Amino acid sequence: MTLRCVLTLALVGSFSFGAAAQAPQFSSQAKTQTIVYSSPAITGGLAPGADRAAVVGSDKKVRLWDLADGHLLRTIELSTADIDFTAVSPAGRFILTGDHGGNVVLWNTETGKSQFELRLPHAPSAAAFSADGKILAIAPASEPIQFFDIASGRRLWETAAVTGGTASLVFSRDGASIASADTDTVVRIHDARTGKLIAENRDFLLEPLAIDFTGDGKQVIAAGADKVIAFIDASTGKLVRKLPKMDQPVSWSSLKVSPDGAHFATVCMTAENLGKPRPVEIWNMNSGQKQSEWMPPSIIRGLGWTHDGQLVSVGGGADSMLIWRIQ
Amino acid sequence: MKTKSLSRRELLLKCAAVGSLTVIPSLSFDEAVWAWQQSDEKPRKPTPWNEIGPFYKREAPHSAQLRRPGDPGLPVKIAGKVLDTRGELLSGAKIEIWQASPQGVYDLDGYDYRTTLIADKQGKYDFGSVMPGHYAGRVCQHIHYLVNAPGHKPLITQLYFATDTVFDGDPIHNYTRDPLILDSELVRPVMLAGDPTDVHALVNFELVLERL
Repeated sequence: MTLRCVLTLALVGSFSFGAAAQAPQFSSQAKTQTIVYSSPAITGGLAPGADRAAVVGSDKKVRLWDLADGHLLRTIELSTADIDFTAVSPAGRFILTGDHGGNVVLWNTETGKSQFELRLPHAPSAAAFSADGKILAIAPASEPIQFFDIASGRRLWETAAVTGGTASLVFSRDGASIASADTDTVVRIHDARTGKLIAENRDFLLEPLAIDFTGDGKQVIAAGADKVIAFIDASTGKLVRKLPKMDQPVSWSSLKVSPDGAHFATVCMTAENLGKPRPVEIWNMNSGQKQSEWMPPSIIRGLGWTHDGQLVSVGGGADSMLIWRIQ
Repeated sequence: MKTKSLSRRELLLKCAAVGSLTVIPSLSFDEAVWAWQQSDEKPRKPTPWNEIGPFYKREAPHSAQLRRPGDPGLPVKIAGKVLDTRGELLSGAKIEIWQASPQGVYDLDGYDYRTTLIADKQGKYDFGSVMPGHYAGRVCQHIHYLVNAPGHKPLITQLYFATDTVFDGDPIHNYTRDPLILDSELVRPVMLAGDPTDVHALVNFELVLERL
């Protein structure tokens, strides 16, 4: 099955914002908010900056929420609720939706209209927006990564094909490079301005699933079903260091480097029971030591850092989005 | 001694010469050979793609028997041919296979229920295993395939079983109960064989690759 950093929640119509239905059980560090939906949600995505979330509802609507105050910012009508993939651009300016048949739409949340539409061979398995919000990279399942100019919708270039496709994609902060965790178990770094391969790392035997650049863009951090966290030189692909193996089989769902580059946060799922919560862990970038952890009451589906350094974890069930903030 | 393999035409000529092949009078030998070749090379639809999933592991060792003595679950023998869309057999194709255990768990530390096979001279492959369990997070029992042959597009797919309880005995209509199954062709019929003390399932799964 595909594991993506998505919100598979439920939402529609009315929502309320206030005290959490379920309080964090293991930490006093986490502050919780709840957004309640009135009809089942299908899928969703968290914006970089963790300030916006988009959720597709079974009523064929995608809604954009402001996570700072739980305010509903925009509702956009879709032609179908059969959406498999959702991604949100910085500040929530665009929402990408993709269905099983490979029909992809980039929605402009200022106008509520489609920015452009694509017909791809398969649904996206990963997508990323450049930090300046100008370039969109989409990896359809089993296909090369394709780059689009958001303003014009023009396809710019694509990477070479890899067997199986891509599980996770991330731009470097300066937008010069893009790293992919590919399903053939290879981590690849491409020039985001040409799509050409810069470096690759083949140290994983199992699929790397979560990936991010260090703050300076010199290394890529990747975590996969191999149960390790690997630091990879972004210019050569060579392994720089590896954090010790985890004690049980896990499927990584998210890895995010803090705005100041001093920490990174991870969350994973237990491979043998995807519904069992696993802790959100914060690691010191330099020492590689785990600095703190917090056990959520339910599984985390989205993770991100706000610009002022708050870690936002998003989870929830069929009827609501739960948002935890860890200082 | 190294022998040169005969073309279909040469083989039929040789058979006709030694009397092991006869052609009815209303059909010329050339017509018969042409018809046979057409039948061999009948265009085939590529095996439908199905996503690779998160538990592919490189470098699985070769093993034709994934079931170990004492393993629970119904033994299953899976066999088929690897061809391209023109019907040409792809001898030497590399077939990587992985599945969950009967308990529905993938082995991430080792290579249990994982193998790499090579299609033989007739393009055939086969292996023994047990029926995979229902993996948490997936609806149906399934076995993953990654097939590579030079000059052909890699095939990533999954094999499903018509006997899966999820289908309620009607996989043609109910295969969409697993949203990841995009084509009912991937749901294969199951035949039970053996004797009362050793019943096992037989499944045929043909793998058709597209040329690059």
